[in-house]
Amino acid sequence: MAELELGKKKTLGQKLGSDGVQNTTMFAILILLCIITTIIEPSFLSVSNFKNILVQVSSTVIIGSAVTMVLISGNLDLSVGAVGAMAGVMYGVFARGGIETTIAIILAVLIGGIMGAINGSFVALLRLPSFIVTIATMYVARGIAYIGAGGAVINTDLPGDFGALGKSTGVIPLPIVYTIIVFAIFMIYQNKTVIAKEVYAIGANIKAAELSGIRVNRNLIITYIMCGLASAFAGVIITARFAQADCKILTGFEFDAVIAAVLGGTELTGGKGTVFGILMGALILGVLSNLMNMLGFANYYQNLVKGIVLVLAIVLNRYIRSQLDR
Amino acid sequence: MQENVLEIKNVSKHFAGVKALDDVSFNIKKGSCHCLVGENGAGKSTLIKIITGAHKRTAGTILYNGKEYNPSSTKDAMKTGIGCLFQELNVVEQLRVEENICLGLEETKYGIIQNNNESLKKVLDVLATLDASINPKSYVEELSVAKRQVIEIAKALALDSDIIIMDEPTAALSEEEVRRLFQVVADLKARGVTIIYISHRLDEIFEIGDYITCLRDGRHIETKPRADIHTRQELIQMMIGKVLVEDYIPNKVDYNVKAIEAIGLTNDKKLKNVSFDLHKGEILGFYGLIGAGKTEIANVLYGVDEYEGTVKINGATANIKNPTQAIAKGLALVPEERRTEGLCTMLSICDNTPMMNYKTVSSGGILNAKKMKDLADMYVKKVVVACRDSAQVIAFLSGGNQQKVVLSKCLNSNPDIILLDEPTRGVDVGAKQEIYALIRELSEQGRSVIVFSSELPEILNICDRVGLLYDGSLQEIIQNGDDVDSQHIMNIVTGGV
Repeated sequence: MAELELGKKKTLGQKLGSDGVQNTTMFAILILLCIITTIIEPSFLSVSNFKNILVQVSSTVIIGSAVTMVLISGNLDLSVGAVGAMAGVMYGVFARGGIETTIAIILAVLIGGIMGAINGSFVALLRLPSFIVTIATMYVARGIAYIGAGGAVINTDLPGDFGALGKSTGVIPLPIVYTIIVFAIFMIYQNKTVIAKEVYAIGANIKAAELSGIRVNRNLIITYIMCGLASAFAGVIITARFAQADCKILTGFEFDAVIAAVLGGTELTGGKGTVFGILMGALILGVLSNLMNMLGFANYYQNLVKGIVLVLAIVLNRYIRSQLDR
Repeated sequence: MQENVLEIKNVSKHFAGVKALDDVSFNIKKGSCHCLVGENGAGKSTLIKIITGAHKRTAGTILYNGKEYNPSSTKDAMKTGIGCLFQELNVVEQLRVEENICLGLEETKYGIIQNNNESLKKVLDVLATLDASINPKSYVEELSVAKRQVIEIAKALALDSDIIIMDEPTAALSEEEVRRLFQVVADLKARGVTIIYISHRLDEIFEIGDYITCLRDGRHIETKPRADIHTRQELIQMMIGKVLVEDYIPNKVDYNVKAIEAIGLTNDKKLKNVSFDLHKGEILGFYGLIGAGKTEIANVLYGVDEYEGTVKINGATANIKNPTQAIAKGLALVPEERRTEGLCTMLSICDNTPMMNYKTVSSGGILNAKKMKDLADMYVKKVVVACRDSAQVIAFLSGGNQQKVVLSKCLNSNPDIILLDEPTRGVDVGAKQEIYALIRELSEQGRSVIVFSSELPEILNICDRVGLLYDGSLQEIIQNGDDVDSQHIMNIVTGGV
């Protein structure tokens, strides 16, 4: 204990770090799952099936990437689903009102950003618990969505290009393209920027971060704005895909996003996790759903399986971290 | 001749290739205050954990009152008669004193807690004899650390403990509370209870120790009666195996240039009209008991607390409202609590080092991973952090090494003025000296330093001038030197005039 252990050879696990091992393990599990699924149901291995899965998980990845950063900061955002629905409905309202489609999209996404700024301000400046703040904004956003859509769906008097953003026919469905772009942006952001590094510090120990001169308030607000923007974008994409503004979309989605993040190794207590993890989490859940659908599992069983998978994932994550974070 | 209450014979403890204890043998006499000293990593905690049943020894025997002692668990050890007062007290703050005492020992009938609890009565009786001012119905969170300790001691006594182990009990106590604790120790000895006392505070060891055992690198070095050790130097030499110079050497101070001018600092956090100057290259100390206002001054300078008064940095009034601004003005703070304020302990050395100034490892807001690693490695080497490598998580470093990472973090921001709040609290002797050397080096580089400390030898070792604080007031600033009068200092900081 008293001597420096310099020059001691590192194990592969030590070289990768706990995040690296976590991500590699999840990737291996994903591959394994794909192999098992293919054995059970060979039709899994088809381009159209893959496209389906990717489109299904697109919201999870887009919103989940931003939620991952919120979790890393040591907070929650339970308003993501509601903000997505609100943005989708506002897109419909604007488009029906005659605003040019592209502008309508941008405005709808910006409204999501404003919601995020509100979340971030209450959490950072008033230091209110994010659980409470984002539940409140969740109700507000969902309320706006309902009001905007008259409690139902906007599908009349919409411009012809309303659904263009979400065009899913063609070689690569557009939602998948957006997913890749947003995911790439967040990957780079999380890995390479100073702000992201500071967010890790904030989640790990907010007091130490403050005393080290990190601008905690600014960073928290930025993190929540990004989450609001991503949620709104996902909501608009769904709305475009179905060419109608439905106020009920993404209900309960906040939990799906968190579950996928936790599956990917992000901890709810903050300071640890990766954006890559959300991709793994989302894909594992996506493939699992696909498998259960092909096997004809009823919804209730699917939830049961998801719950078990979640617990196993957390236990595995804990084990990996305890072995490597020494 | 006193009999032995505990005989430790050839005890070893191995952890996956590391010899935490290597063939340790010595005896502890009944009714004595037996001090255990040694640097962090010497094996003290491991030995204590074996005695209290938290770890199983790899080899060797322990005899307790002549009989073989093999506790199966901490509860088993407690029942056998070994009580322990840990550094982190095991109390639940939101519960009352009497509820805390009963925790784990509640008398229940079919799962419902009974009201007339015999063991509770016993403890409360003991508590009354130790400190009658503690009300059993008060909530623990309202009590000071010192009083919580007394509660723990009462618990141990009520269980008829033969041996009470105290691990760094005075770290968070004021002078008066330390005196009270020593009285309790004397009281316990009179009852025939043996105390195993672990501390880095050599003065205390000299005062209450009857025997001193020194461990180093997991091995037993020596056990001596206290009476056979004549000087601090002897004790330190036992502990680290080399001689230290504990004399004060004046630093290169430029008394013409004032790095900080503080005028009339007052706030509702205790400070009353504090005024002082910090000169360039100076190491200024602030000494006082707990609650005297040391951290409060640091917080004012660093922008953590509001205040009335003026602070001038290099001649210009600085309106520092938060740490970000303080750092921009050239200040850096090593906070009092390194684990909760100084570091992100779940992150690595590499992640923590650049936290005060990412500019050295990034450009345009984009991080350079290689620069981050090189920076951390550079500091690990420079301040000598004992670690596996810079990717190691902070939580697994010893206190002294963690503190060095905090220092690295500050140095990385290239500060003109460094504030150090209790820089060597909970740090072992060897690392302490290394940190003092680093502090002196800061002054040599022309930076100005303020050290806030409750350890007088530390202050007198490195500071050029010392501000004496009492109850939020700066009573006096004395010049350090050969003619320093420790009695006078103690008098001032305890409220005398």
